[in-house]
Amino acid sequence: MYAQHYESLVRLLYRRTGDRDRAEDLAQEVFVRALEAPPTNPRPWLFAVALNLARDDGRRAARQSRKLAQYSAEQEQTAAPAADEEVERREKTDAVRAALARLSEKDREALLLKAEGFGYGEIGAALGLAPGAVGTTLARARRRLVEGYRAGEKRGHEPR
Amino acid sequence: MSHVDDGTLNALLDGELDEAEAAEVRAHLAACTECAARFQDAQRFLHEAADLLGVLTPAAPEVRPAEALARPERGPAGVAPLAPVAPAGPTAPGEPPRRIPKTAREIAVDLDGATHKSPAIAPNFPRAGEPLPAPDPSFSRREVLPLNRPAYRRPDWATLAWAASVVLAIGVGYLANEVKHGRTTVASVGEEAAPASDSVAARVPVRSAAARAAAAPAARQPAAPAKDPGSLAANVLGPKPAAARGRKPPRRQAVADATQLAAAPATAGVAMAAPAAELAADRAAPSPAAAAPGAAGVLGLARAQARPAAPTFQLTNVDEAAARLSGTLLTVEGLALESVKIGPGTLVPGAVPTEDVVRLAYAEPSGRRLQLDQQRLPQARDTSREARARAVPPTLGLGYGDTLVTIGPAGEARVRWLDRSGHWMSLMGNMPADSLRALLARIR
Repeated sequence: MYAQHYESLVRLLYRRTGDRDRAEDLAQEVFVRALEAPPTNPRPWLFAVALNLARDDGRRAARQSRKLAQYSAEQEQTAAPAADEEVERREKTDAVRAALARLSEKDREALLLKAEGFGYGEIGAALGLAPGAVGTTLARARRRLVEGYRAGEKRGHEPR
Repeated sequence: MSHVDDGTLNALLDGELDEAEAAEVRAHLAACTECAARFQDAQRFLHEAADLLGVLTPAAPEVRPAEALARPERGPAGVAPLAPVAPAGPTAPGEPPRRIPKTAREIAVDLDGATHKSPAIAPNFPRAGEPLPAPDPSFSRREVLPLNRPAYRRPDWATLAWAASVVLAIGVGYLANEVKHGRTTVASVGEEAAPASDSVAARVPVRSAAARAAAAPAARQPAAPAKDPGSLAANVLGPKPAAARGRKPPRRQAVADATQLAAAPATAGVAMAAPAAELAADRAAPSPAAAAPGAAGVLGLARAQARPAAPTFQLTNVDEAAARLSGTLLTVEGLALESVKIGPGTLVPGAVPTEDVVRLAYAEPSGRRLQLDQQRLPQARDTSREARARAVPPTLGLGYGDTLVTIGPAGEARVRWLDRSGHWMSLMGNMPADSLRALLARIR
């Protein structure tokens, strides 16, 4: 179970939290919980728990990041100039993350679960959606992610 | 068929529609340009969204779980590869798995001494397709959550040894001090009995018992009683510094006692008690001299006489109180002052006993009573930080700028603080500490 789902879980949690280490820690926590109370159907259970943990963790992290935001902004300015591709890649990552962050919780989670190969039935079960509503949720989530990303890009290129 | 909604279009793209539904939708798309356009859009969004999410794939090179799975299990069953995904950096195939971040709970279990039950990833957790293991009966849930009970099963010998050595050192120091006062007596035992043992007794006071034991057979004297008057005398004289603050009769009594005690064994026939009596008299001598009439210039005594004879708080007025506090009398703004008193510091716990305390009594509008004690600490001329730190009497338990909140046995709160100018204050009242703290802001 661990080997089968670990990478997928970490990827989802990484996309959700934006922090590799935190994603790994949360994935570990998910498996600890799975061990304490072995689920009968591990895959949706694991991902549902992971999303719950990420949600809690996000709330905690949000409080801290507000304080850190200014600091890191200063840091970025003083950071050594990186290679152009590196800068570009980082800008794109940030833009995607920002777009993802602007989605509603449900849209974001549906999108992330879908990216891990979940079917509509599983997504619906994990997020408490009717199977028929998953397609609508995903349609909205995809459009908003793309549009949000484009809008962010446009803003980014405009002179500030 | 009416137009197809975006959800259905996405379901079609995601392969979530069954054959019949899919065929129906496709037929509609072929006929309806509007829906066909939206289908194109949905397709584009789907791919773009997937691409964007792909950007957020963890950057670190990974060992694909497929590889990890495909790799045959190495070693005995218990040594399955633990971390299919290396946390960071490239991992050569076959290299042992890299670090796995420990969760707090796992560490707690480690501390509990149950590392073999570390629940982070059980080494023999089933692979895909394997049946779940039956729960280990000895691995109860309680063991996973050891925070509910004390986890100190294994004594920490290093800490215990350290604590023991500290206790031993204090004990030895205490004994050494004790024997030091009676040393002359002990030494004199040695002098008369066996001069050789004298130096031992004097130099290693703690071992004096042994020295005495060695000397005893030669001297044929009961050595133990000889030590007793000495140490008793020392005990009586011990609190001399405290007594020196101006109470004559007890001190004289003490000297008399010491002499008497020391003399008693002498009359009983123990010859070497005499030096002890002499010593006791010697030590006590300077004190009666200081206490003698005419020697009242000694500071402590002068203070004692200036103070009211009975150590109680005496009513006074604000001016007098302010003068006692070098002109700085702080009051609680907005409260009715009931009385101003001055009394010795010895009556106020936590105050400097050698300085007077000004006590302001207040009545709150609600009827609760407040008491504000103040003291002016003797200021060091040298205002350097070190000098000021030295100047703070250790009895205060406060440094400059410190605030201390305590709750008394009857629920009364007390806030003590020492400001930077050496003004000590204690606000006490039968009210919650928070209310008391709030009042601090009104003290001017």
